[in-house]
Amino acid sequence: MKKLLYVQTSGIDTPERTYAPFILATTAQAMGVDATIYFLIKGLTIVQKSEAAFVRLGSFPALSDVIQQAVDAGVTLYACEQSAQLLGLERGSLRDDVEIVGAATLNKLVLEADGTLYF
Amino acid sequence: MSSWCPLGRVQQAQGGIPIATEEIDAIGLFCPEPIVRLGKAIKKIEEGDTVVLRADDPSAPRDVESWADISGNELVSTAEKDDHWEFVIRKRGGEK
Repeated sequence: MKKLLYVQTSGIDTPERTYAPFILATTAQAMGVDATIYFLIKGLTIVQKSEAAFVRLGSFPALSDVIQQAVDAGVTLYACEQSAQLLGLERGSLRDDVEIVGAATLNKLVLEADGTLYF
Repeated sequence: MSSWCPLGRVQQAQGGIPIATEEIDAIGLFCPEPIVRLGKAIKKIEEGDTVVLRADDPSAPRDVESWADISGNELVSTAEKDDHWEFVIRKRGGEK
């Protein structure tokens, strides 16, 4: 199975950059491609509990709905919790369906992906 | 019978072959420090020897697995203790 990795470094302060990884990853799963999204730096704000519910852009559904759609499609969500420290945010309070991982795992994912897209 | 020495290395007789074990206490340290220390420790030991890493960073379980997979070393075991994980890693020859 081919693998695609989406690295999300943008956060909810730039909502126009938050939708694409979920939509692409959901589509990848539908194409028989294993999709993973890794959140770090400001991207961490997207997977903090309750934050995404307040993001809605244009005629798109709420970001939280798009996240749920991706999870339901089998997309794997990983987050760098150290980014919270970098940004002065509280640690923890991430969505339950997000696994906390670190630098070694991001390096492995990039090495093993057939393609990596950065947002 | 294991015996401790001040450098944190344990010599164990296993099937007549001495196995050196490097111990790393990374409790309270966050990513990437446990992995950086693991990488340094593995360089100091010989192939077949092991490192015991104790860490409570929530990213450690997946990261130790990723590190072992990419570096070509063997994650022998992961044990969940009360407030941390204990990983045993065996040095294997060469990277993938």
